[in-house]
Amino acid sequence: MSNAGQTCAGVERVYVVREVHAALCRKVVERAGALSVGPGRTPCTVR
Amino acid sequence: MTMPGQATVVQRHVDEALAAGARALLGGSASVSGAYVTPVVLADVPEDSPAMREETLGPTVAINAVADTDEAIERANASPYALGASVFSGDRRAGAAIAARLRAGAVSVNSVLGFAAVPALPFGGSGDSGFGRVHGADGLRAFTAPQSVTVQRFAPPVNLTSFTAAAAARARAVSFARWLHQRR
Repeated sequence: MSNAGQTCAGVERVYVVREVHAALCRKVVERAGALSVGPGRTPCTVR
Repeated sequence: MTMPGQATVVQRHVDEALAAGARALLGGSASVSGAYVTPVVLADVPEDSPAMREETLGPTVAINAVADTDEAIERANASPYALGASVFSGDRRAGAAIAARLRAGAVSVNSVLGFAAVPALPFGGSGDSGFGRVHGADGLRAFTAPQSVTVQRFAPPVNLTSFTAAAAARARAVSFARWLHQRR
């Protein structure tokens, strides 16, 4: 999700076997929810 | 978003996915606000949604469950785009075997974008994601051009590029060509 997903390297879709789908979603939501979003020159957006 | 129109694209992808029955695990339609988009995580997105079929190029990700590896490969390949992919597997050899079955121009096993860090590997997309490569032997060939040269070893018995060739000779040449290229 770097550059707000505006690069060719940004992930678009994920296929995951059903058994671990919920666990993966939980982890991705945790990480994505912790992202600071804002103008790129704002220090809080640099990780 | 860098370009004003991109927020509209992201909005459409998120909204159409949700309208088609996808679940928003993080964010949603309200995540798009003017030029800013906050992260969106979607699950159970129908495969014909723009979020799955087109390039969103926003801070969104769709995570769909599949029954097994075969279904994952089938769905991943069912796209006109084929840029990059990552495969995560507990078995590295199985991971490489899965990579070989993906149409993507480049695949990393158990990492993301690992292929971009190896200069010897040709880098580029397939399908609607592009043609041509940089890096590696294929990348160097992009700076070259094929040149074809033929040197005639003997004059043909009939000059077929002339209007003066006799009709019989022309007919013989035609039947010879048919014999040469017939199915065997």
